[in-house]
Amino acid sequence: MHVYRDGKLIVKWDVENQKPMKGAVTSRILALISELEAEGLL
Amino acid sequence: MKIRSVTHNNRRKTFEVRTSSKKLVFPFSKADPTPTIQDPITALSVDVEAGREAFTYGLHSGRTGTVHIEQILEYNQDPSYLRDLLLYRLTLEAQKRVAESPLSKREIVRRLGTSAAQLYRLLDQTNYRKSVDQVLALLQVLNCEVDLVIRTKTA
Repeated sequence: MHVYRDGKLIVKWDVENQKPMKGAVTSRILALISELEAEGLL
Repeated sequence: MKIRSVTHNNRRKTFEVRTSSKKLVFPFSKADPTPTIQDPITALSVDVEAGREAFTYGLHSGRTGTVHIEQILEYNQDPSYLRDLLLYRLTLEAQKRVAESPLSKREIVRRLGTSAAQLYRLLDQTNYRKSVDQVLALLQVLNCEVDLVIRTKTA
């Protein structure tokens, strides 16, 4: 999963291992990822 | 890797992507939703919101899809993309082995003949500037046997 802000990659997230593959994850992004997972979208 | 332009070829049933150094193809069949004769592509553009690292297409039915450059690189078996993926997997394994190892970090550093900073660099899964060779050396120190299996790709 790739997270962009203003056309810039913030983090490439490994959904399976719950780790960033590129960039760094912030607590806000982590919360958004958890929300998406809870909704079954990931 | 940025996408410079994207076109589609209905006869070949592929998207054709141009980057600064490569021309890559991506078959319609790998895209979701899949463009078909009954539901053809009506719009296609490089996705600026994704930093030009993806393209978005729209179908006659109104459905839209996005394809990321990494899906295209994976389909085309791009060597540097596959190298990074291998390095990531090896690093995750090394992290797991370090956590399970009875050896202290200081002892691992001593056996590797390196510095603590270098060990943390090797264990950082977001760092792709280290070599596969260095991670293999770390796995050796962690008493792991790494078998390389080379096989011919299937079609």
